[in-house]
Parts: sequence; structure tokens; C-alpha cells
Amino acid sequence: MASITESLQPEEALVRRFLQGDAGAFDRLVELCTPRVFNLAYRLVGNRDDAQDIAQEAFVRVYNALPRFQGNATFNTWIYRIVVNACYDELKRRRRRPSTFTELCDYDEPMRDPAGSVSAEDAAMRNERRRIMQQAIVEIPDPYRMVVVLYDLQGLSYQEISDILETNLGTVKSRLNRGRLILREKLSASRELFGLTERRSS
Amino acid sequence: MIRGHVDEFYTAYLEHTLPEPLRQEVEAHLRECPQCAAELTELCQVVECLHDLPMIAAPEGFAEAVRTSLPRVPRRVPAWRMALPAVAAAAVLVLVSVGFWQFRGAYLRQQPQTVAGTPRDNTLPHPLTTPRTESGVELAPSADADSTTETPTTAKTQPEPETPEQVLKSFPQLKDVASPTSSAGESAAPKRAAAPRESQPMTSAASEPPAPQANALNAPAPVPAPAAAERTLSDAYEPQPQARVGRAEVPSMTKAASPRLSGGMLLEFAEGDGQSLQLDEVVVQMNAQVVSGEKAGQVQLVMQTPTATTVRISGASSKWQNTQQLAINPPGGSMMLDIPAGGDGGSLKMTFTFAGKTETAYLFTPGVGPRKTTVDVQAANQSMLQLLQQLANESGVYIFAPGDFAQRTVTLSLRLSPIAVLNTLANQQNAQALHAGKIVTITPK
Repeated sequence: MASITESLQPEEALVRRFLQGDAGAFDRLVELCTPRVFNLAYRLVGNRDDAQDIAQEAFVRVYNALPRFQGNATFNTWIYRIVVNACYDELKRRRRRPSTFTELCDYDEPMRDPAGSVSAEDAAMRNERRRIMQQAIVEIPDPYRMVVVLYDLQGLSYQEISDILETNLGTVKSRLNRGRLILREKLSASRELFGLTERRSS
Repeated sequence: MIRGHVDEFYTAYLEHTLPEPLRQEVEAHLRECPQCAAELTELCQVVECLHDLPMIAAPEGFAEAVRTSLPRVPRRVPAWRMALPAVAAAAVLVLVSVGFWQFRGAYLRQQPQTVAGTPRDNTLPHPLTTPRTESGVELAPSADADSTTETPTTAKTQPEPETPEQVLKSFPQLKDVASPTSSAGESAAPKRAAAPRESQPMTSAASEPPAPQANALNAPAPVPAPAAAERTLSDAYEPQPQARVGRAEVPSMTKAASPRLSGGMLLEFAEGDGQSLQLDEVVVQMNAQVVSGEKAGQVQLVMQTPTATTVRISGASSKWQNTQQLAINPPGGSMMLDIPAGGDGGSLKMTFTFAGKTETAYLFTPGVGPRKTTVDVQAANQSMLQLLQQLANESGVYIFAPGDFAQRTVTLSLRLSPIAVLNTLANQQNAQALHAGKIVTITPK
């Protein structure tokens, strides 16, 4: 791992260029980071509008903070931390002013079906499953949700998550496990949809 | 000593990171506590569904919105300082975006040589070539989309489909695997690779409509396809420059031991006591190509069984879904599952119904997040459960089987290509063994 992260990532090259005065480098940085930034925000808050606001806010913060980016952390860790903080702020704001749970998910994108074997029903079920999954994710308490989303959806390592959340490794691991269990609990109302086996022994 | 249930250890158990005495205790508990065993199974299902969530595209005009919201202050930089690096940066960026979107599932190809610690000798047969050689199956070349056009062989040009008997003759070596020694894989692999082979390139059908069910029953139709036959899987899955860049998007994956994107899985169930299992032998071979970005792939399943068997294989990703059912009349049959391009990883689920029992296996292909590879065998007995758990430890694959079945002796050999050990970060040694083609054989005590 070390040899890879220590070599210069494209993001870091762009940061360097930006700091050298190439304003266009920031646009490219945004382009490059948008998928993970937007998706992280989306999975954490559960709707597009808020996710867009958060992602946008995060990039503004990145822009402002870049001159102070020391390179102590990897850029990836650093930008994730900024997004996570922006999400926390949004969630706090939301709790003060609870209201805007707009649409939850938009999984109505048509699924490709060259084999003609995906029935509309299957596709609908899958969309429903994803919608409910997203809803359940949003209901996981913040500290656990952060870890679940970063690990299971963003594919980060424990170490990276520990760096991002500034929490120790053990805590990250236990939160992941706990978060997944909570998720399972939240989904228990939709057992059938998720193919969960109903086998509670007395 | 563990008191109470073991739910706090599930994830660590799944990732093989529990220290030894604890792992055994957890396992012992799982054997005795149906509640925890069921909960663990459910947890896996939940995680599977979690991983099924797709990447969402940012709204149109997002970049522009960001740009306008920046408190941009013009910076003065001499033009000469910017010009050249800017060009270079632009070039890098193209590579990055292509790399990420096309190969975001390909993170494992980053370090092909590091598994063995030395650069891989291309003349050595890659373990993945063995299943193909045995069965006459070849995976679709993955990364290079061009290669679909390079291979002229299409389903239409193939000779008459062979009968199942002929099909079986084409992979008699499969039986080798049923009684491997610890070194069988390494010693046998070169031999098999050197054997004359017939391959059915799966490349062609990637752009063809999937074969109807009736055809699938008659497949495979092995044809000599020199170009394809010479093309080993290691070639097909040679690291792409883009993958290197793409990997940066999923840094955690660099720790995974496996460099290979593609997967092949060989599951064998062979009866030991000759009594309780009506099926003498089932050989399932599945070659799965990772579905990622723009690539299309196929899964071919070749099955050899002395009794009538129903196999249902289905694959799904965020962008596609495909299911086929195969009724196998002894002694065997083969089927093909098409995996269209698009989507970000997915899972393949195989269900075997025989002797009144149903077994299910999952193979997950990687997408953006870490993808767990799970072989979920609704196995038929307790000893099978122990066997599978042992197997899980040795192979680095997650296997779960509810332990509420009657005793039975089963010999199970499993050969997994590295895709099956995708995320077994804690089990590099085993991944390496698998990578080297070693077959893990477990005989229940």
C-alpha cells in the first residue's frame, strides 16, 4: 500500500498544479473527485438535492483550504474528511429544521436487458430493494452509518476510515459490524424483498 | 471464553481477522447456535444487497455549479509555467477517467506480481487457464474491448454442438481435482495446460444475443480456435495501464492479494459414504468475467452429474440481470450466461437442485466498493458445515451453511481463481496458494 499511496496520485498532481497557479487544475480535480464526493454525500443523506448541496459545499471548502493542504494526509483522506464534515453539518442543520426528506432514491433508470430476461417486475423489485436499502442506510445512527458507507460503499480501508474520522481502528471495526447489524435490523421489515431467511429459533 | 452470542465478531469472522483461539470459539458457537448462524447468514445477505447499490451520477451541470460557487480570485502565473504541465495534466486526466469508469472494478490488477513476490513468468500456465483447459471453456477476454472483434469465431461458425458425452470427454481432467494432493494443483496445472485443448471462445457471443435455452443445453460446442486457445487468461487479464490509475479510486483494494480480475470457480461435491447423498458427483465449473464499465462478459457453466440436476444461474448488476435455468440430464450439460456491458459489479448466484436439495452459491464480481465473495451453500449436513467452514478458512472464501442437517460424509474440493478471494485481505497466503493453482481439499474428520 505504502508504495502506491506514496507515489503521486493524479489528484495530488492536480493539487500541486493548482497551488502553482493553474486555476484550471481545480476544475479537473472537481471532475475527478465528483463521483466519490457526490456518492458519499448521497448515500449519507439519502437524497439528491441535499447531496448536491453538500458536495458543492465540500468543493468550496476544498478550494478554500487547499492552500493549507500540507500533504500530511493523502489527498483522498483529506477530501473525504471534508465531505464527511460537510455531511455532519448538513445533518445537524436538518435536525434543527427537520423537514425536507424529499424523494429518497431515483433508481428508475432503465436496466439494460439484452437477453430479454429481466422482467419489468424483477427490475421494479430491484429498484424497490435499493430504495428501501437507501432508506435503511439513512436511518442508521451517524457514527455507524459513516463507517458502513465509507467501507461498504466507498471501498475504503479501515485505516483510511480511521484517518478520515479520526477514530481509532478498533472503533472503526466495531462500528462497521454494529452498523451492519443495525442495517439488518432496519431491513427486517422487508425480509422477503431481501431474501432474508426467517429463522428465529426460540 | 465467549459468553452469550457472537454477533460482535461477525465482520471480523467474515474477514478472517479473528485471532485463533477466538475464531474457533466463534465457530463453535455458530455451530451450536442456530440463531447466530442465521443472523450471520442474513448479515451476509444484507451486505450483498448493500454492495448492489450503484454509483449515482451527479446531476447535470454539477461541475458548473461548483465553479460558479467558488470565491475565485484570479491568480497570476506566468504563461510559460502553465503551458506544458497543463497539457500533461490534461493527458493524465483522460487516462484517469477512462481508467476509473472502465476499470473501477479492476483494482486488483494493480499488483499482479506482488502476490508471488517476483515478476510472473508468462510462460507458466496461470491457474485460471486450467479450468478453461479442462472444460474447453474460455473466458471472454475482458479488458480489451477490441478483442471481441479480433476473434472471428462466432457461434454461427462453430461446428455442430457436441453431445453431453462428448462434452464430458472434453474435460475428463476435472476428475483429477476430486482427489488432489496438496501439491496436485501445481504439478497438474502444467500438464493440463500442455494437453491439447479445444476452446470455445466466449468472446464472440458477447456481442451476440444469448443462446436460447435449448442451445445452452447442447453447449458447449468446442471448436479449435487457435488464436483464442493461445490466449491465456493471464494474457486476457494482463494489467492495463488504466487499471493502475483506476485503482487509485479504491485504495483499500490494493491490499487484496489477488491481481486477477476474472474469476473461475470449480466446486466439486463428491460423496464419501455412498449412502446419503444420492448424487455421486457433481462437478460445476463456472467461469465468470468481472463485469465492469464498458465490458461485456459471459459466464459459462459446465456441469457433470450422474443424476438429473437443475441448475439455475443468474447474474445481476446495477445495469443488467440475467437468469438461465439448465436441466441437466446425465451425465452433463453446459450453459452460458451473458453479461452485458455496463453496471458496476454484480453477483452471480448459482442454485443447484439435486436429490431434493437445493444448494446455492454466490460469486460476486467487484464494483466500486469492496465486493465480498461468498459461496453460500445451503448444505445438507453438519459435517458439510464444518467442512465448509474449514474450507472458508483455508481458501479465504466466505462460506455459510446452516448447520441443521443430518450427518453425512462429503468430500468437497474447491478451486477458486483469485476473484473468489477478492476481498480476503487477511488471507493473503491462501490467496497466493489459490493463485498458484493449489487445490484445497478437505476431508471431514
